[in-house]
Amino acid sequence: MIMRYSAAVVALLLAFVVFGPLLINHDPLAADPANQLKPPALSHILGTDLLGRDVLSRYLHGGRHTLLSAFGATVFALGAGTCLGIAAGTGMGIAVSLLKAVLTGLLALPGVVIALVVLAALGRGVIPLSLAIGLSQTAPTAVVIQAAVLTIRAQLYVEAAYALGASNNYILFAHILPNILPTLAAYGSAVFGYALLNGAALTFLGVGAAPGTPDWGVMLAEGRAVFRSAPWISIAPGLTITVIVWAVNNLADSLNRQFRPDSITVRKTRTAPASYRA
Amino acid sequence: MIRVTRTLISSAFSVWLATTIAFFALRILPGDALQAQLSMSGASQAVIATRRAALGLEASSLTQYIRYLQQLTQGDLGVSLVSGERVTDALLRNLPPTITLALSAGTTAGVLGIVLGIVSASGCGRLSATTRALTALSLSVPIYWSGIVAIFLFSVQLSWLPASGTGSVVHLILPVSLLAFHTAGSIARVAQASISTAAQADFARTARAKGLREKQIIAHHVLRVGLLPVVSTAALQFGFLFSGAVVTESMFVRPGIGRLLLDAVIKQDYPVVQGVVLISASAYALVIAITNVLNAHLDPRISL
Repeated sequence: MIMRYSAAVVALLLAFVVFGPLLINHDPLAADPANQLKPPALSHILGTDLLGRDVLSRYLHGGRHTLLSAFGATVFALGAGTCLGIAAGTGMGIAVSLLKAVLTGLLALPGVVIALVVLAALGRGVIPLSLAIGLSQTAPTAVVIQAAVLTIRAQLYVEAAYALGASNNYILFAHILPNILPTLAAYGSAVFGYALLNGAALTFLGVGAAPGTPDWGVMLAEGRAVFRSAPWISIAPGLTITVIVWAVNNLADSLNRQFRPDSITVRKTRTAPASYRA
Repeated sequence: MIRVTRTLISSAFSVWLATTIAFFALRILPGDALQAQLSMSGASQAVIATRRAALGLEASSLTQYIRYLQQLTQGDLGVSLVSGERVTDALLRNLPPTITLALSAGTTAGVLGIVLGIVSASGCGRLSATTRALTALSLSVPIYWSGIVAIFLFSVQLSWLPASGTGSVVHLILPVSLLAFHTAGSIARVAQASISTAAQADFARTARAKGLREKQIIAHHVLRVGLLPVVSTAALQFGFLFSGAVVTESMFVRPGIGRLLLDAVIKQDYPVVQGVVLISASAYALVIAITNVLNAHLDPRISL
């Protein structure tokens, strides 16, 4: 079941990013004032927008744009969140206390506020948008990873490895990292869904990708003003975001069920020696 | 009482951390509303520098931060760089509409989410399949897209409800239902998961073994435990509600904290951004504190 879901979702995403723009020979940026707001027809399969640009071509190029920026945000959130989570779950000392304080501060804000503060500081664009969404999900990811690390550290096999004289680095790479991968996979799919939904929301509100770029958020914003006369501009991007987020949420759910953390019996954390540092 | 005080102290601490992080994050890169505004109107660098010095923006970040904290203790959040309005005034003006929107949407979402969660958890059948589909839909349809469609349907085509503005209850119906529908999904998921778990717990088995009817078991035994996580994840729902409010307010052209923040971000009006950060962090901390107290009160297994 999971395999089928993952395969379908990954195939859909890859098809968009790789093949989407190749399928069509219209330029997503070429304006054609003579053909404004034309309904779908053979020459323009999804019609044209307010500037006479081909909607299908903007939709396919926009998919590449939107999905890559959501992917960037996910990679950032998972990368930073995993490092911070492992540090918070295994280390100690002033640096780690400071780190935990920063995480507490970030967790005290709704994600959208963090994202908007980052965008206020960095300005518009795809990279600031990815950073903003990624940063807004870093603290929650770090907390999830920290919890997973603490659970794994309390396992008997870690204690056994420690008793056999394994170094901290060995335990980190041989035991902790491989065992947080399932958590990372499940949580990562959820973060991707969040990034797609909220990244497009920020672009829609005018603080993400620049106006005019072929991007699903931009298309939804442009299509909103003319929804009455030209609903075809915003239907395809809205529908596709819905389908992808739905699929990705389902994937996260089935991965979660597969690797349910409560199927592992958790022992009290006292078993790992207090001097343990990784 | 001591427990409540401890919860409050730790919330105040996290609010302080959040505002501090935001304060320094906004000063990583040069440039702010004043700079942008004055250089656009063709003012010379000297004029800009004078204005900035008058507002204390030329000092080092640390000096500015210390002054910010000093003013904060006196309830002064500074002035907007764009309009010159006091930030506290702007916040007080925009707070009531957001509170109205969030409270009505939150309450509706709570009821709707719990109902969806209970029905979805109740097993098979066409009804629970429908509620599960609704939950999935609420979590995956972008609110800005369902908003476009709803405005088109109810305001443009049927002209039942106004598409923008504030003032009467009628203006609230569309934004509140939209925001409530999208927040309900996240509540329903939590409720469904915890009710399903509680329905398989030992106490439910005991209740079944002693011959209670399934309805009684659900109503008297399962729900009392199964609905607790809905309360304890209120902070999560608050985050959902707030991000939805930002979109809803700007879509329905309603005044409010979300739109205030969005405008301030677009114009790089840092004092206003900091003010909203403080307000939203405080509201978040308040929700978490209330949740903790309420949860300990409702669930005898938890002690603060």
